[in-house]
Amino acid sequence: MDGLRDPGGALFYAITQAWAMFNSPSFSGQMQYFGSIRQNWSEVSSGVSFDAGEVPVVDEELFVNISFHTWKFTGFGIDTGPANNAQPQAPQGQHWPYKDPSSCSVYGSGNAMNFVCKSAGTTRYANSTRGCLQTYWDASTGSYSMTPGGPGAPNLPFLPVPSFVSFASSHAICLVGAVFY
Amino acid sequence: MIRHVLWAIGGAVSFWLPIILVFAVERANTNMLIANLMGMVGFSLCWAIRRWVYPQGRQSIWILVGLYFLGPVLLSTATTFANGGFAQIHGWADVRWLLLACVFPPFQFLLAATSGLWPSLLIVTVFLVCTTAMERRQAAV
Repeated sequence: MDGLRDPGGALFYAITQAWAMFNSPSFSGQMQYFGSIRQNWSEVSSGVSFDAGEVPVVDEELFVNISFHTWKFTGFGIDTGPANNAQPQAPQGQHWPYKDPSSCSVYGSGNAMNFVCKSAGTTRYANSTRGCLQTYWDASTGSYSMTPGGPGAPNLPFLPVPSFVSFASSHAICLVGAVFY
Repeated sequence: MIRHVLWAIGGAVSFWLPIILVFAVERANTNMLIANLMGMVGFSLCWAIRRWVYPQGRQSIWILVGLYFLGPVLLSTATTFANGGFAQIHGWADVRWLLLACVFPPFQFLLAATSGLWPSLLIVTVFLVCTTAMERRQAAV
């Protein structure tokens, strides 16, 4: 470390990278760590310093394969990045379509159904529940039906459901069913 | 009163924080079984501490209140890691529904249910309602 031009920075870089690797999940997948401290990686890894006038600044990226998803570790926060929009794969033999939050527009905008629908995120369970519930949704009347794809009934003032029975039955089926599908 | 509020916050955090951590790690691939179990484990730890620290207290109702009052915000924090929650709030109308969920428990339960957390929330709710009734009965005797 004595030969380093910026031993403090190099040490901090090494510590943050080591911390990130040490604290990474032990299962397989891909994690991507990105050192936010600008430091020439060769100085850190080899201990050889450069004396080339202009400081060579390289944004080094260290990749560690772990099978879960991709994180971008900045040292001061986690950039959830594009992996946040990753869609889970629909399993074989699914009984209803998977729907992502963009499908929540069938409920209209700014209402309670739309809010609940899109708040669940893009987990496999949420996509499955959303797909199931929307097969019971009758967009023409803005209400849930008793059968998939069946006709609905007029709205109630607060929640756009025709009756508590059809609302509860469709949710009971889909919330439990999504556990398995 | 401060003690009650602290129990409410502690109960909510003990249940929702492990779920937030599971969502933070697994994100779109979150396993709901693990998330539900972690919430239950967190709540169990809180309950064990409560029985140890404050065995004769009537804190169940406050923990239940905290669980539902802070639930929408903490649940949204969790689902944000899966492109839901705060990531899907695009206007004051959504903020309004989020705040309504804080004071309208059925709405909060619906939010948790569509996120896949209905089993653990249902169990904890039933448990706390039962213990609240027991504590009231014991206090009346």
